[in-house]
Amino acid sequence: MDHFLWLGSAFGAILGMLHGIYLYRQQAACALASGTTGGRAIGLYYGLWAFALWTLFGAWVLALWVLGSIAYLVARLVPGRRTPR
Amino acid sequence: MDLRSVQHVGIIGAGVAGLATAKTLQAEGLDYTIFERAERLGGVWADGYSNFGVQVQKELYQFPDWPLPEGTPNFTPGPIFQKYLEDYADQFQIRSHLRLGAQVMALAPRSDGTAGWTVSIEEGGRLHQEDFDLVVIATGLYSNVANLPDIPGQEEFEGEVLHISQVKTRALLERKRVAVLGYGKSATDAALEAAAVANDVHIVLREPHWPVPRNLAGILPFKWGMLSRFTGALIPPYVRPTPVVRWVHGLGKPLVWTFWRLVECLLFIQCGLGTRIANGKNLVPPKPVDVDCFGEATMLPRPELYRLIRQGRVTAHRTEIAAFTRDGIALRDGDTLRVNCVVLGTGWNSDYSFLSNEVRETLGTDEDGFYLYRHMLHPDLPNLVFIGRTSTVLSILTYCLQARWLAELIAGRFGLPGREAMLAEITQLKVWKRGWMPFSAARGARLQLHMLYYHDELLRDFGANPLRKRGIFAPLKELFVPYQPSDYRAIVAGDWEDRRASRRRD
Repeated sequence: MDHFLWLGSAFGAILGMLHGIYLYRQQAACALASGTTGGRAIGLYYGLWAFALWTLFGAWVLALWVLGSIAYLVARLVPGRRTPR
Repeated sequence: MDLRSVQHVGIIGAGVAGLATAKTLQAEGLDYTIFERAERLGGVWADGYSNFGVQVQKELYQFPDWPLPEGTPNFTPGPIFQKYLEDYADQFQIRSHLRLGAQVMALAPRSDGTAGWTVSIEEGGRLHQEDFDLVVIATGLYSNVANLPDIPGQEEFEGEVLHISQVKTRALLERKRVAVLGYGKSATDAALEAAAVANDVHIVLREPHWPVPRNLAGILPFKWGMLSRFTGALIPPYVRPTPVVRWVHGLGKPLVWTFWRLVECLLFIQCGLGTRIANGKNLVPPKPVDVDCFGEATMLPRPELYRLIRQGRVTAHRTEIAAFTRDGIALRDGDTLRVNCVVLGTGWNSDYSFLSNEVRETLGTDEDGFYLYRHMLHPDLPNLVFIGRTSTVLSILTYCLQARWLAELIAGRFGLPGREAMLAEITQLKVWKRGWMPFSAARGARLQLHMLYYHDELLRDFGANPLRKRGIFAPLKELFVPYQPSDYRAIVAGDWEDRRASRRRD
């Protein structure tokens, strides 16, 4: 269980870092386009939040992803499923 | 297309979209005239069916910068909303620019070759022309042209056939045996009206759709489950998805799939969709909920609908009508219903009869409607803008933001891409929607829950920050707190921070 928590948190941290960088760059670009300052600070704030949330809930996301994958595969294999997208 | 020299604007339609456009352009110092063919402003709200009203909570359907008055009932009744629009027109002095009973009959490019349109108007029994630098078509997605299906045998039917628009009072249905055709908002409203006064009520639906309860699990207002960026990341990806959404729907697909199956379980249980209806069928929709909600009949039904179906007060038939008989209707599943009143809850059609064949061909004559750049304009129809044609969950907000976008464009605070780039985006939009969105005659205009991404694009176009939540917990709010009109108050009012300077040509 501990291993899974650490694995999930690490997984979340990586995703959080990527998401955080994306948010930082988005806000910085927005500020540049409107010719204002403060966008980088806001971007950094949003980025840190993204990193924190992903890390905190990474294990939950991973667990749901594993369970969801199993359910999804079972559903795909069961005959008579609904109209696919 | 450069609109910086526009001075005089013609607006067709005085519904929500037309009024929002008028108010926004007036604030930019532009002169305008609104033509409304009805004798009252308000568009669809000016003349509704019995007991019609707003189907979402009041804070979700109001002008962002002009809230509904205190004490307005939740799920605002139609007449109250109509009064609200009248007050809006008075408050922002729109009436002096409004011409009621004036129907636009035709648009033609100006004969002198300058940018703009010559509008032919029938007013007071007289036809005349007026020139405008820019025309805004704000007639909405659905006009007053009823969608009437062609059903065999109607001439032999001895009962009454009404379109929902004709059911102004439930007295028309009193003590009758009523069959309602359809399963959208207006059809289910008609069934509920009939259930209150009729002797017998049937609803004939070709395909059930996933209902959106007003309160999820009876507790949480639906906006918390539908209008946040968290849910927005889980709906089918937008035409231009962010990297995060691409990842969520790529590697994270099992999470997305599980989420929507859990939502389906909740709706199944809460609304009793497994209830046995005629011929042993049920009301479980065939399409997945995350696709179905982008179809023609997304609705928040009134809460009593499914209870009345379970109680047998309303008998549901999951089939199609085959033909009228002398004393009722024959259904494709073999049943025959003895009814003396059929209500067609089959909606309305768009009416662009005032557009010439050339304009309509430029827009496109595809069966799923025409597609526009930013859902508002076509590069080959300069100085012609559609506002109010886009179908979203919070349409009033969308129209206000479209009006703001147009005002910023006229002010020169941003520019449009070139013709080829706009045409490429239109093509991209067509390919995206046709790839997965259920077919409907209005698919070209449909966005529904993608409105968050659409609104973000509009704001980025004119240099406003699309992230509208504020406060120390803003990042958390961005993710989980639903977006609603009040979040865009400053944008719609034109007084947000960092607004660019105007570059209009005087």
